[in-house]
Amino acid sequence: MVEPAVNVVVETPVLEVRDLRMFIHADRGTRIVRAVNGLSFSLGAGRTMGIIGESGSGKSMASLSILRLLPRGARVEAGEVLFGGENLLKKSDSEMRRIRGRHIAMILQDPMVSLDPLFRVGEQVAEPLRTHQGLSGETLRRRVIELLGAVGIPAPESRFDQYPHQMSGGMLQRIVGAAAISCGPELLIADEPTTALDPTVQAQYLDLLEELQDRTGLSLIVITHDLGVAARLCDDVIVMYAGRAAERGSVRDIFERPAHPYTQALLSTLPGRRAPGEHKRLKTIDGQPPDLAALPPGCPFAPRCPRADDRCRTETPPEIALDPTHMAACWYASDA
Amino acid sequence: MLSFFLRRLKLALITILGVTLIVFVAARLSGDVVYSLVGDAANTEEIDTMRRQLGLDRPVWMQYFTYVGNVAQGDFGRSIRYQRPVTDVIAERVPFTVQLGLTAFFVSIVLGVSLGILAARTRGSFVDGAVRTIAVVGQSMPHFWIGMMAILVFAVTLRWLPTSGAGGLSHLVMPALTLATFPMAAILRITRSSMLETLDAEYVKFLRVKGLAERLIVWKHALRNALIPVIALSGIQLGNLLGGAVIVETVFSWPGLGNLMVESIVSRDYPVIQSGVLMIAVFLISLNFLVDLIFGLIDPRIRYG
Amino acid sequence: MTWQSFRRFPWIPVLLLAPVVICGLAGPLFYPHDPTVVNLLAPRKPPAWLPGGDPSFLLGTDHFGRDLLSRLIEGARVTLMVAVLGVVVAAVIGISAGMVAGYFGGWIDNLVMRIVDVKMSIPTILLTILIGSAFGGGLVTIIASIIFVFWADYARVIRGETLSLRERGYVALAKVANCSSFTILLRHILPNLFATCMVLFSLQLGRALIVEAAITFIGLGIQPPASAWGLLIAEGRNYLATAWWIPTFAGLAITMTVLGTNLLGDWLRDALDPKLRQL
Repeated sequence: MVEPAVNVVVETPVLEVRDLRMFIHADRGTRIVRAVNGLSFSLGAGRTMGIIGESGSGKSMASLSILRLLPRGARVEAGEVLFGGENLLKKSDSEMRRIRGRHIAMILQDPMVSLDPLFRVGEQVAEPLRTHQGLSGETLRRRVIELLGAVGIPAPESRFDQYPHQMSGGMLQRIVGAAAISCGPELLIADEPTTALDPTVQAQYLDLLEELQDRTGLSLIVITHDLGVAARLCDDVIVMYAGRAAERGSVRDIFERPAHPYTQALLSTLPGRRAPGEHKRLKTIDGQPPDLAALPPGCPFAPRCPRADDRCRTETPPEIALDPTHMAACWYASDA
Repeated sequence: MLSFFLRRLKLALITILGVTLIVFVAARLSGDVVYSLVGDAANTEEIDTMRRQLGLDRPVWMQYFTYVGNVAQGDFGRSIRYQRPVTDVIAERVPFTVQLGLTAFFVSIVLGVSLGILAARTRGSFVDGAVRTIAVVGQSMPHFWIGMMAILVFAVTLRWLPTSGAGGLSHLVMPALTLATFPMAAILRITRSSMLETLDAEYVKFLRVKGLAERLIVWKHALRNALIPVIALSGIQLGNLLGGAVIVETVFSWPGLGNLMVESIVSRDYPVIQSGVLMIAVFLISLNFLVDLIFGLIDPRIRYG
Repeated sequence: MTWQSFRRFPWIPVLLLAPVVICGLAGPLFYPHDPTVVNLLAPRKPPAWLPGGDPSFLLGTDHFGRDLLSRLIEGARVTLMVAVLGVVVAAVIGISAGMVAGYFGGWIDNLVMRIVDVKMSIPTILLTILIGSAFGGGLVTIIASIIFVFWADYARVIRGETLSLRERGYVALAKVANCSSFTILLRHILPNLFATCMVLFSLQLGRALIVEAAITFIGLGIQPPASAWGLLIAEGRNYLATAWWIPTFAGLAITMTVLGTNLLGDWLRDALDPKLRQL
C-alpha cells in the first residue's frame, strides 16, 4: 500500500441535492402543484440536517423525491440527487429498491399506521434483512431480536411475535426505527419524528435517534415543523418555504443570525428564550402560505413579508451567500 | 377468541330460531295442511281426527314448539307431491345445486378478485375503465335474461353447448357462468376499492421505504389486507348465489334445489318450499358463522380483541 | 352552465333513465299501437329492419301479434310503479326502524337487528317464494316481497348513521333543551340522513327492478295479460328459437334502467358524500 502523499480528506457529501424540482399534476393535468421548486443542499457524513417548514412547504415531498417514492401524478422535473456520488434520479426501479431500506432508510410520520396490522412486528423488522442481506431462519430471528434490543425494547424475544395493535405508540416508533436501521443505512430520514407521540415519549425517541447516530455514524435528515427538535438534534438547518429553501446554514446561523424575513418571523413566534430540549410548536405567521399551483411572480414570501418592495414582487431572489455555509434567498439578506 | 366464538354462536342460534318462526308463520298462512293430506272427499270426522293427530287442535304457540322440536330432530314433514319425506326429496337435488353453486362461486371469486386487483393496479387506465364497465353492467342485468341470451347465442345459434339439463361439463358451463356474473361483479368492485385503499395506506408506503419488491408488497401485504372486506362480502354473495340458483336452474332446467322450489310453487307443495327455505337459511347462517371465524384467523385484531 | 358543471352532470344515467321515466309517466301518448290489441294474423313478426319485418311494428310483434314496442312502453309503467312503490314503503319502514334502533339502543335495537339478521339469512328469491307460498302470487306478493327484502338494508345502514349522529353536539343540545325524542329524531337526525337515503334509494331501485322481474319470471309476480318487462321475458322464453326479439328487447329495457339507477346511485354517492362507499 502506498501512503497517500498528502493527508487531506476530500470529503464527498453523503447526499447532495441540486436544484430539485418535483411537480404534481393534479386535476387531469390542468393544475400543476410545484411541491418542490428548486431545492439544493448537501449533507456530510455523520451530520444531521433539519428541514423546517410549515405544512405544505414541500419538506415531506422533498424527502420522498430523494427516495423516488412519489405520490400519484407527481414527477421529478429537474435536478440531481447525488447519493455517494451517483445520481439516484438516473437509477432503474430495481436499483432504487436495492438502495431503499439498505442505504437510505426512512421513518414515516405516524408509527401507529406504519406497520401492517396483519403481520407480527418481528416479521416486519425482518423483511429488509431478508430482502437486502438474504438472512433467514434462526440467524434472521436472532438479528431481529438484537435490533429490537438495540432500539430499547424490553424483552425483545417476547415482543417478536406480537402484532402492532398490541403495542403502544412509543413501542411502535421503536419497532419502526429498528426496521429502518436494520441494514445499517448510511442515511436515515425521519419525517416529523415527534408529532404523533406523547411528550414524554418524544424526548426518549430523540435520545434514541442520537444514540443510533453515535453508534452507527449514519447521516440523518430530520423533517419537522418543531423548531425545538431542530435546535436540539441538528448540525445544519434548511428553512423551506413554497418548495424551496428560504434559508440554510448551520444551526447557529439560523437560530442566532437569521437572515431571511421568514426565518425571523418563525423565530419570533417562539415566546421567550428556549431552554435546551424545550419544544415549541410554531405559531402561525400572518397571511396564508402561497398556493403552490399558482405561485406569484417574484419572491414567494413577498405577500406576507413586512420588508417586501416592488423588486421582491417581480424578481425571484437567488440564494445569496452570507458566508460559505450560510445562504438566504432574499434580496436584503446581507442587510440583516 | 373463545368469547368471540360464543358470542357469534349465540347470534347464529337466535337467527335460526327467527327463521323457523317466519317459516312457521308462512306455513300457517299458506292454507290448512289437513285438506291437502286427507283430500277433498273427506268428511268432517276424518278431518277432526287428522287435526288431532297432527296436533293442530292445540294453541298456536304449542304447535310452534312442536314444529321446532320436529325440525331439530330432522323431521321436516312430507312432500305433498311426491308423498315422501321432504328431506329425501331435497337431498336428491342438493348435489346438483352444490355442483353448480360451487363452480359459480369459484369462478366469481377467481375472476372477481383478479380483475379487481388488475383494475386497482392500473388505476385510471383504459384497462381499469373497461373492467369497471364490465362490473357495473354485470350488476345491472337480470340472471334469467343473461341465461336466455346465452342459450340464444351459444345453444340455439352457434350450437356449441346444450340448451338445458344436467350432464357433462358442457351442461355446466352456461349455468355456472350465468350464475357467476352478479357475484363476480360485486366481488370485483369491492376488491378494487379495497385494494386501492390498501395501496394508499401508510404501511404500504413504509414497505416501499424498506425496499421490498413490488410483488411482495402487493401479494403478501396489500392483498391480505384488501381481502378482509372481500371475505365479508363473499359470505353474503354465497347467499345471493343460492337465490340466483333458483332462477338460473329454472332457465337451464338444471335439476337442483332451486328448480325443485319453483316446481313446488306450481304444484303447491308447500312443505317442500318451507323446509327448503329453512335448510338453506340454516346453511347460510352456519356459513356466515364460519366466515366470522375465518376473520378471526386472518385478522389478529379480532382474534386477540 | 359552466363547462365544469356540465362535465360533472350525470349525463349517462340521466340519458338512460329519461326515456324510461317518460314512458312510465306518459306511456299511452306514445303507443304506436294499442299494446293490448291482439292480431293473430301477424304473430312473431321480426323487427322492422329484418326480412319479413313490418315498418309499423318497429321492434316486431309477440306471439299474439301485439306490438312489442307498445308493450315495452306499457311495461315501463307497471314495472316502475311496482318497484318505486315497494322501495318507498321499504324505505319508510326501514328508516323508521333504523332510527329508532340506533337512537334508543337497548332491547329495541337488539330486536330490530336480529330481525335484520333473519332476513339477511334467507336469499331474496327464496324469501319471495316463501311469501308467495303464504299469499299466493300476484301484485301483493311482489310488492310485499320488495318491502320485506329492502327494508332491512335501510334499517342496517340508517341505524349505523343514527348511532354516530346521536353523539353530535346539537343532539345533546336538543336534549338539554328538553326536546322530545320524537322531535329530535324528526328535526335533527332525519335531515342528516338525507344523503344516505337518496343514495340507497337509487341503488335499491335498480335491485328492486331485478327482483321484480325475477319474481314475475318464476310465475309469482305480475300475471298476464298485463305488460311487464319480466313477464315479456318469461313469455319469450318459449319462443327463444323463433322470436328472439321478445325477450331480448325486454331484457335490454331492464338492463338499461337498472344500469341507469346504479350509475345514478354511484354519482349521488360521490356527489353527496364520498364516505358512503360501503353501500
